Amino acid sequence: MKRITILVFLVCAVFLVSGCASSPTVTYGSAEQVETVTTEFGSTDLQMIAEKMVNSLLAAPVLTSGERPVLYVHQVKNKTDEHLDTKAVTDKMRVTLLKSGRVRFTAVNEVNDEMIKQLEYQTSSGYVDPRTSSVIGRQVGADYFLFGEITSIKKAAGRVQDVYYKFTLNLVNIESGLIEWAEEKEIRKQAKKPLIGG
Amino acid sequence: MARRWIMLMLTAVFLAACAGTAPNVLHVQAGPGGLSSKKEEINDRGLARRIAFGEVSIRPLDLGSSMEAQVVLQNTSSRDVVFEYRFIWYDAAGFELSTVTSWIPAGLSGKEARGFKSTAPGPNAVSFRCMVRNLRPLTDTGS
Repeated sequence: MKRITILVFLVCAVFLVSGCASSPTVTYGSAEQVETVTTEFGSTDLQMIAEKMVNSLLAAPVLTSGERPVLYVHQVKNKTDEHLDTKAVTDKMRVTLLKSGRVRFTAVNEVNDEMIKQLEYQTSSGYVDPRTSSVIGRQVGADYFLFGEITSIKKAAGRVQDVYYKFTLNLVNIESGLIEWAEEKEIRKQAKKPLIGG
Repeated sequence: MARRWIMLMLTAVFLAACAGTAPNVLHVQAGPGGLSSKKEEINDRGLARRIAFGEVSIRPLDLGSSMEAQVVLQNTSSRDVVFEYRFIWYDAAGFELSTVTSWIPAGLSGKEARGFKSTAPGPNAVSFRCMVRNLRPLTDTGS
Protein backbone atom coordinates (compact mmCIF):
# COMPACT_ATOMS: atom_id res chain seq x y z
CA MET A 1 0.00 0.00 0.00
CA LYS A 2 2.82 2.34 0.95
CA ARG A 3 4.56 1.53 -2.33
CA ILE A 4 1.41 2.48 -4.33
CA THR A 5 1.13 5.77 -2.46
CA ILE A 6 4.76 6.58 -3.30
CA LEU A 7 4.12 5.65 -6.96
CA VAL A 8 1.04 7.90 -7.15
CA PHE A 9 3.01 10.69 -5.50
CA LEU A 10 5.85 10.28 -8.03
CA VAL A 11 3.47 10.33 -11.00
CA CYS A 12 1.82 13.48 -9.65
CA ALA A 13 5.25 15.06 -9.15
CA VAL A 14 6.22 14.26 -12.77
CA PHE A 15 3.00 15.89 -14.05
CA LEU A 16 3.61 18.91 -11.85
CA VAL A 17 7.22 19.32 -12.97
CA SER A 18 6.35 18.86 -16.65
CA GLY A 19 3.64 21.50 -16.24
CA CYS A 20 6.20 23.92 -14.89
CA ALA A 21 8.70 23.22 -17.71
CA SER A 22 10.08 26.43 -19.11
CA SER A 23 9.97 25.53 -22.82
CA PRO A 24 6.98 27.14 -24.56
CA THR A 25 4.26 25.11 -26.22
CA VAL A 26 4.10 25.86 -29.92
CA THR A 27 1.07 24.92 -31.99
CA TYR A 28 -0.08 25.82 -35.48
CA GLY A 29 -3.39 27.66 -35.59
CA SER A 30 -5.72 28.70 -38.36
CA ALA A 31 -4.79 32.00 -40.05
CA GLU A 32 -8.55 32.58 -40.37
CA GLN A 33 -9.18 32.51 -36.62
CA VAL A 34 -10.15 35.73 -34.86
CA GLU A 35 -7.23 36.92 -32.73
CA THR A 36 -7.66 39.04 -29.59
CA VAL A 37 -4.32 38.50 -27.86
CA THR A 38 -3.80 42.25 -27.29
CA THR A 39 -5.48 45.47 -28.40
CA GLU A 40 -2.58 46.22 -30.76
CA PHE A 41 -3.14 46.01 -34.51
CA GLY A 42 -3.28 42.31 -35.38
CA SER A 43 -4.00 39.77 -38.08
CA THR A 44 -7.80 39.98 -37.68
CA ASP A 45 -7.68 43.78 -38.11
CA LEU A 46 -5.66 43.34 -41.30
CA GLN A 47 -8.11 40.74 -42.62
CA MET A 48 -11.17 42.84 -41.70
CA ILE A 49 -9.74 45.87 -43.50
CA ALA A 50 -8.76 43.86 -46.60
CA GLU A 51 -12.21 42.21 -46.71
CA LYS A 52 -14.09 45.51 -46.47
CA MET A 53 -11.85 47.36 -48.97
CA VAL A 54 -11.87 44.57 -51.56
CA ASN A 55 -15.65 44.06 -51.35
CA SER A 56 -16.22 47.78 -51.72
CA LEU A 57 -13.70 48.32 -54.52
CA LEU A 58 -14.97 45.35 -56.54
CA ALA A 59 -18.48 46.83 -56.35
CA ALA A 60 -17.31 50.36 -57.28
CA PRO A 61 -18.45 51.73 -60.68
CA VAL A 62 -14.84 52.39 -61.67
CA LEU A 63 -14.18 48.62 -61.68
CA THR A 64 -17.57 47.55 -63.01
CA SER A 65 -17.32 49.21 -66.42
CA GLY A 66 -15.99 46.05 -68.06
CA GLU A 67 -12.49 47.52 -68.57
CA ARG A 68 -9.43 46.38 -66.62
CA PRO A 69 -7.86 49.58 -65.30
CA VAL A 70 -4.21 49.67 -64.26
CA LEU A 71 -3.59 50.63 -60.64
CA TYR A 72 -0.63 51.27 -58.45
CA VAL A 73 -0.49 51.44 -54.68
CA HIS A 74 1.02 54.78 -53.78
CA GLN A 75 1.09 54.90 -50.00
CA VAL A 76 -0.81 54.09 -46.82
CA LYS A 77 0.40 56.47 -44.13
CA ASN A 78 0.66 55.09 -40.64
CA LYS A 79 -0.56 57.85 -38.33
CA THR A 80 -0.84 55.59 -35.29
CA ASP A 81 1.82 55.38 -32.58
CA GLU A 82 2.34 51.68 -33.37
CA HIS A 83 4.74 50.21 -35.87
CA LEU A 84 2.39 48.88 -38.56
CA ASP A 85 3.28 47.20 -41.80
CA THR A 86 0.67 48.94 -43.94
CA LYS A 87 2.08 47.19 -47.01
CA ALA A 88 0.78 43.90 -45.61
CA VAL A 89 -2.76 45.30 -45.86
CA THR A 90 -2.36 46.59 -49.42
CA ASP A 91 -0.58 43.39 -50.48
CA LYS A 92 -3.51 41.32 -49.21
CA MET A 93 -5.90 43.54 -51.14
CA ARG A 94 -3.78 43.46 -54.27
CA VAL A 95 -3.70 39.65 -54.37
CA THR A 96 -7.49 39.43 -54.04
CA LEU A 97 -8.13 42.16 -56.60
CA LEU A 98 -5.72 40.60 -59.11
CA LYS A 99 -7.40 37.22 -58.70
CA SER A 100 -10.73 38.84 -59.54
CA GLY A 101 -9.39 39.51 -63.05
CA ARG A 102 -11.05 42.93 -63.05
CA VAL A 103 -7.98 45.06 -62.42
CA ARG A 104 -4.26 45.14 -63.20
CA PHE A 105 -1.44 46.50 -61.05
CA THR A 106 1.80 48.09 -62.16
CA ALA A 107 4.95 47.15 -60.26
CA VAL A 108 6.73 50.38 -61.24
CA ASN A 109 6.64 51.96 -57.79
CA GLU A 110 8.04 48.84 -56.11
CA VAL A 111 10.58 47.22 -58.39
CA ASN A 112 11.28 49.90 -61.01
CA ASP A 113 15.07 49.84 -60.46
CA GLU A 114 15.17 46.07 -60.96
CA MET A 115 13.03 46.35 -64.10
CA ILE A 116 15.27 49.08 -65.58
CA LYS A 117 18.39 47.03 -64.78
CA GLN A 118 16.85 43.98 -66.44
CA LEU A 119 15.79 46.01 -69.50
CA GLU A 120 19.30 47.46 -69.80
CA TYR A 121 20.81 43.99 -69.41
CA GLN A 122 18.51 42.59 -72.10
CA THR A 123 18.99 45.46 -74.57
CA SER A 124 22.57 46.66 -73.99
CA SER A 125 24.68 43.88 -72.48
CA GLY A 126 24.94 41.83 -75.66
CA TYR A 127 24.30 38.64 -73.69
CA VAL A 128 20.61 38.35 -74.64
CA ASP A 129 19.30 37.24 -78.03
CA PRO A 130 17.70 40.44 -79.45
CA ARG A 131 14.81 38.36 -80.79
CA THR A 132 13.82 37.43 -77.24
CA SER A 133 14.72 40.60 -75.35
CA SER A 134 12.09 43.00 -74.02
CA VAL A 135 11.81 46.39 -75.67
CA ILE A 136 12.28 49.68 -73.82
CA GLY A 137 9.34 52.06 -73.83
CA ARG A 138 6.48 49.60 -73.61
CA GLN A 139 5.58 49.75 -69.94
CA VAL A 140 1.88 50.31 -69.31
CA GLY A 141 1.00 53.53 -67.52
CA ALA A 142 -1.28 53.40 -64.49
CA ASP A 143 -4.82 54.79 -64.75
CA TYR A 144 -5.39 55.10 -61.01
CA PHE A 145 -3.45 55.05 -57.78
CA LEU A 146 -4.43 54.03 -54.29
CA PHE A 147 -3.49 56.07 -51.26
CA GLY A 148 -4.72 56.14 -47.72
CA GLU A 149 -3.95 56.34 -44.05
CA ILE A 150 -4.55 54.59 -40.79
CA THR A 151 -5.15 56.52 -37.59
CA SER A 152 -5.84 55.46 -34.04
CA ILE A 153 -7.20 56.89 -30.84
CA LYS A 154 -6.17 55.19 -27.62
CA LYS A 155 -7.62 55.71 -24.19
CA ALA A 156 -7.09 53.95 -20.90
CA ALA A 157 -8.81 54.43 -17.59
CA GLY A 158 -8.32 52.11 -14.66
CA ARG A 159 -8.36 48.57 -15.89
CA VAL A 160 -10.02 49.38 -19.23
CA GLN A 161 -8.08 50.11 -22.41
CA ASP A 162 -9.89 51.25 -25.55
CA VAL A 163 -8.37 51.49 -29.03
CA TYR A 164 -10.13 52.87 -32.11
CA TYR A 165 -8.59 52.40 -35.56
CA LYS A 166 -9.76 54.08 -38.75
CA PHE A 167 -8.40 52.95 -42.09
CA THR A 168 -9.20 55.12 -45.12
CA LEU A 169 -8.35 54.28 -48.72
CA ASN A 170 -8.85 56.44 -51.82
CA LEU A 171 -8.63 55.67 -55.54
CA VAL A 172 -7.47 58.62 -57.62
CA ASN A 173 -7.79 59.02 -61.38
CA ILE A 174 -4.28 60.07 -62.45
CA GLU A 175 -5.46 61.95 -65.54
CA SER A 176 -8.27 63.94 -63.93
CA GLY A 177 -7.01 64.08 -60.36
CA LEU A 178 -10.47 63.10 -59.13
CA ILE A 179 -11.00 60.71 -56.24
CA GLU A 180 -13.19 58.10 -57.91
CA TRP A 181 -13.69 55.84 -54.89
CA ALA A 182 -13.08 56.00 -51.17
CA GLU A 183 -13.83 53.62 -48.34
CA GLU A 184 -13.14 53.48 -44.64
CA LYS A 185 -13.13 50.78 -42.01
CA GLU A 186 -13.46 51.46 -38.33
CA ILE A 187 -12.34 48.98 -35.70
CA ARG A 188 -12.86 49.26 -31.95
CA LYS A 189 -11.00 47.02 -29.53
CA GLN A 190 -11.29 46.97 -25.78
CA ALA A 191 -9.30 45.15 -23.15
CA LYS A 192 -10.00 44.84 -19.46
CA LYS A 193 -7.16 43.85 -17.20
CA PRO A 194 -7.96 41.20 -14.62
CA LEU A 195 -8.43 42.34 -11.05
CA ILE A 196 -5.62 40.09 -9.88
CA GLY A 197 -2.38 39.68 -11.86
CA GLY A 198 -2.19 41.12 -15.38
CA MET B 1 -25.29 7.31 -7.19
CA ALA B 2 -27.19 10.50 -7.96
CA ARG B 3 -24.10 12.54 -7.14
CA ARG B 4 -22.07 10.51 -9.64
CA TRP B 5 -24.66 11.21 -12.37
CA ILE B 6 -24.62 14.91 -11.60
CA MET B 7 -20.82 14.93 -11.83
CA LEU B 8 -20.95 13.08 -15.16
CA MET B 9 -23.54 15.49 -16.55
CA LEU B 10 -21.54 18.51 -15.39
CA THR B 11 -18.40 17.10 -17.01
CA ALA B 12 -20.30 16.50 -20.26
CA VAL B 13 -21.66 20.06 -20.22
CA PHE B 14 -18.18 21.42 -19.48
CA LEU B 15 -16.62 19.45 -22.32
CA ALA B 16 -19.40 20.46 -24.73
CA ALA B 17 -18.85 24.10 -23.83
CA CYS B 18 -15.13 23.79 -24.56
CA ALA B 19 -15.60 22.02 -27.88
CA GLY B 20 -16.02 24.07 -31.05
CA THR B 21 -19.46 23.75 -32.58
CA ALA B 22 -19.81 23.71 -36.35
CA PRO B 23 -21.10 27.01 -37.74
CA ASN B 24 -24.57 27.66 -39.07
CA VAL B 25 -24.34 27.90 -42.84
CA LEU B 26 -26.54 29.50 -45.48
CA HIS B 27 -25.88 27.83 -48.86
CA VAL B 28 -26.83 30.13 -51.73
CA GLN B 29 -26.85 29.44 -55.46
CA ALA B 30 -26.94 32.69 -57.38
CA GLY B 31 -25.97 34.50 -60.55
CA PRO B 32 -25.93 38.15 -61.63
CA GLY B 33 -29.56 37.59 -62.63
CA GLY B 34 -30.54 36.89 -59.05
CA LEU B 35 -31.01 34.19 -56.46
CA SER B 36 -31.53 30.59 -57.63
CA SER B 37 -31.81 28.72 -54.34
CA LYS B 38 -30.90 28.91 -50.68
CA LYS B 39 -30.69 26.33 -47.94
CA GLU B 40 -29.98 26.70 -44.25
CA GLU B 41 -27.73 24.24 -42.43
CA ILE B 42 -28.19 24.63 -38.69
CA ASN B 43 -25.44 23.02 -36.63
CA ASP B 44 -25.63 25.27 -33.57
CA ARG B 45 -29.25 25.46 -32.41
CA GLY B 46 -28.34 27.76 -29.52
CA LEU B 47 -26.88 30.33 -31.92
CA ALA B 48 -29.76 29.85 -34.38
CA ARG B 49 -32.16 30.91 -31.62
CA ARG B 50 -30.30 34.24 -31.37
CA ILE B 51 -29.02 34.90 -34.93
CA ALA B 52 -31.33 34.09 -37.85
CA PHE B 53 -30.58 34.22 -41.56
CA GLY B 54 -32.87 36.70 -43.30
CA GLU B 55 -33.39 37.97 -46.82
CA VAL B 56 -30.70 37.39 -49.46
CA SER B 57 -30.23 40.06 -52.13
CA ILE B 58 -28.11 39.81 -55.28
CA ARG B 59 -26.94 42.82 -57.31
CA PRO B 60 -25.25 42.44 -60.72
CA LEU B 61 -21.86 44.10 -61.21
CA ASP B 62 -19.38 44.60 -64.03
CA LEU B 63 -22.06 44.69 -66.77
CA GLY B 64 -23.67 41.55 -65.40
CA SER B 65 -20.57 39.37 -65.31
CA SER B 66 -20.17 39.54 -61.54
CA MET B 67 -22.37 40.12 -58.49
CA GLU B 68 -22.61 41.44 -54.98
CA ALA B 69 -24.56 39.56 -52.33
CA GLN B 70 -26.16 40.76 -49.13
CA VAL B 71 -27.43 38.47 -46.38
CA VAL B 72 -29.54 39.97 -43.62
CA LEU B 73 -28.69 38.63 -40.18
CA GLN B 74 -31.32 39.20 -37.52
CA ASN B 75 -30.73 39.19 -33.79
CA THR B 76 -33.93 37.52 -32.62
CA SER B 77 -33.09 37.97 -28.94
CA SER B 78 -33.51 41.18 -26.98
CA ARG B 79 -29.88 41.14 -25.85
CA ASP B 80 -26.73 42.19 -27.73
CA VAL B 81 -25.09 39.29 -29.53
CA VAL B 82 -21.49 39.05 -30.71
CA PHE B 83 -20.53 36.44 -33.26
CA GLU B 84 -18.20 35.67 -36.17
CA TYR B 85 -19.15 35.41 -39.83
CA ARG B 86 -17.55 34.80 -43.20
CA PHE B 87 -18.47 34.41 -46.86
CA ILE B 88 -16.85 31.82 -49.11
CA TRP B 89 -17.52 31.84 -52.86
CA TYR B 90 -17.37 28.82 -55.20
CA ASP B 91 -17.29 28.25 -58.95
CA ALA B 92 -19.54 25.81 -60.85
CA ALA B 93 -17.15 22.93 -60.17
CA GLY B 94 -17.22 23.62 -56.45
CA PHE B 95 -13.73 25.11 -56.27
CA GLU B 96 -13.22 27.75 -53.62
CA LEU B 97 -12.59 31.19 -55.14
CA SER B 98 -12.29 33.44 -52.10
CA THR B 99 -8.85 34.54 -50.94
CA VAL B 100 -10.12 36.40 -47.88
CA THR B 101 -11.84 33.64 -45.91
CA SER B 102 -11.05 34.82 -42.39
CA TRP B 103 -13.72 34.94 -39.70
CA ILE B 104 -14.88 38.50 -39.08
CA PRO B 105 -16.10 39.47 -35.61
CA ALA B 106 -19.43 41.31 -35.58
CA GLY B 107 -22.19 42.30 -33.22
CA LEU B 108 -25.89 43.04 -33.36
CA SER B 109 -27.91 44.91 -30.77
CA GLY B 110 -31.06 43.35 -29.37
CA LYS B 111 -33.63 42.74 -32.15
CA GLU B 112 -31.35 44.46 -34.68
CA ALA B 113 -31.18 43.24 -38.29
CA ARG B 114 -28.37 44.28 -40.61
CA GLY B 115 -27.18 43.35 -44.09
CA PHE B 116 -23.75 41.73 -44.41
CA LYS B 117 -22.28 42.13 -47.88
CA SER B 118 -19.76 40.28 -49.98
CA THR B 119 -18.65 40.73 -53.57
CA ALA B 120 -17.99 37.75 -55.82
CA PRO B 121 -14.21 37.45 -56.20
CA GLY B 122 -14.50 36.63 -59.91
CA PRO B 123 -16.94 36.30 -62.81
CA ASN B 124 -17.01 32.51 -62.49
CA ALA B 125 -18.60 32.55 -59.00
CA VAL B 126 -21.96 30.75 -58.95
CA SER B 127 -22.56 30.07 -55.26
CA PHE B 128 -21.51 31.17 -51.81
CA ARG B 129 -21.81 30.14 -48.21
CA CYS B 130 -22.50 32.60 -45.44
CA MET B 131 -21.29 31.09 -42.17
CA VAL B 132 -22.09 32.27 -38.65
CA ARG B 133 -20.64 30.94 -35.42
CA ASN B 134 -20.13 31.96 -31.81
CA LEU B 135 -17.16 34.20 -31.08
CA ARG B 136 -14.16 31.94 -30.70
CA PRO B 137 -11.10 34.18 -30.52
CA LEU B 138 -7.48 33.23 -30.06
CA THR B 139 -6.71 34.93 -26.74
CA ASP B 140 -3.67 35.35 -24.55
CA THR B 141 -4.67 32.25 -22.64
CA GLY B 142 -4.46 30.24 -25.84
CA SER B 143 -8.04 29.08 -25.51
